[in-house]
Amino acid sequence: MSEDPSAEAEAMDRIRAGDASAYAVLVAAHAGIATRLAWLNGAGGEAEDVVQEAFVKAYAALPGFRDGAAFRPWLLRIVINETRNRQRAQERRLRRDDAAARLDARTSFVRDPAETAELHDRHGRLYAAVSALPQVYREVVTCRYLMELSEAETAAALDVAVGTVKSRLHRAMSVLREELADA
Amino acid sequence: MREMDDADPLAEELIDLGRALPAPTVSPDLTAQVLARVTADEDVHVVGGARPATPGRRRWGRAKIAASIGALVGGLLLVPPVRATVLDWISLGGVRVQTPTTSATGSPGTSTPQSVSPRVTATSPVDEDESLSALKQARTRVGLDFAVPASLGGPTSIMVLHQGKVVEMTWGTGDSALIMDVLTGSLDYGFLKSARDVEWTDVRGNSALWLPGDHDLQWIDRSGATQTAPPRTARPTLVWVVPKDGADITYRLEGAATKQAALALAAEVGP
Repeated sequence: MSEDPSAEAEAMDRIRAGDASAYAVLVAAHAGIATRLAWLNGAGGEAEDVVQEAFVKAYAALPGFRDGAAFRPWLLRIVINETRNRQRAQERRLRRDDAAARLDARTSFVRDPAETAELHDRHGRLYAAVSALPQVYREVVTCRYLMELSEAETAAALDVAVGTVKSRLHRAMSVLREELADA
Repeated sequence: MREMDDADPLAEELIDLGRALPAPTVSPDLTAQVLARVTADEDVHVVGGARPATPGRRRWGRAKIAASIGALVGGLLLVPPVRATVLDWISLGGVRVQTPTTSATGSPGTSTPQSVSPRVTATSPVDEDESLSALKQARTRVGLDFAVPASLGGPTSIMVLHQGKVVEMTWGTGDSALIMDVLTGSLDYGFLKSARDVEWTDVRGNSALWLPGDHDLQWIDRSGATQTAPPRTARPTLVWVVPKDGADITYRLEGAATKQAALALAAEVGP
């Protein structure tokens, strides 16, 4: 979906002027990418809920937006946080003293075998390896490569500095290469 | 869009992977549901009125501090009129808990069930057979084989509320009554509470929420429609979710004397 910054800016003005229905413009513009990120970051069957939550929460922050501030990075940050919360909740549901089950939950939360069955062998192994990464590495790889977000957008979505994105990505790729070498 | 300094083969493969992965479909109802929720919010809380001092970042900071959020299964929405400037959300099953930063000004009222059927009125003693028969009817009516704590015996009253989506059972009457609500995860209704302190706990390995103080309780509708009844004050309550047959059932138990008593009763309601 192509972005139209002026249509978006106009919609934000209308919302601030009291016309909440103009938010439909922002929802339509960003629903696709938000849904994709929610799913890639492990929301699975809850992706729809995550996206709905994210849009509602993002709306509440609009009054504080500086003129010209972009909506999308803020929305994506909320999507990331929602998926993290749900993953934590899923882990909580397991026995607290069962570390193996929790690790299993974390990896299975991200990797849905049914959805990745179509991928050919190499992609399947790659996806499994990414899913098994520790959360901070998985997220940065997801944003930068799977989602193809820019460094600046990744930084905004993960709420870290651009320098952190670079260094985390570097380490993430080393870990990933090792993972794949062992396979 | 991409800022790759070096051609890294692994990076290229990951990009290919991203493009090969199936694209999830956006829910066709998304815009309608989001708009319903945000326009309802605008009516009652702060988008038009008092603004958060430093919105966005500060609000998000609070959410990080708040307890972790359980899976939202039932729908929930609509903030009751409170003078909170920043709201934290905690959800579990069909319940959304809102913890305002300033004290809520909602006044206690009585909730009115929208539909009552069937009802067993309190007699002394409770006619067990009649009570259990009403329980069976309620199960059929909502299409859910939910459980009740065996040690309590037959409920004093059973009501089916909100177009057959919630069963509310009571044992005893008045201030010492125990109330248990059962709602399925696929419902449109949930309820909202504003509570100061909430504690996470668990019932047989399933996440549960204990609300130790009195708090406002209000039924709300996922589409954003307001409930006509004003919020009523609920006594200490335990909320937990039991997965059953692929869906989640939310239980709400109000009126147990202590958290331990509530947990003991909840443990009797097995999957």
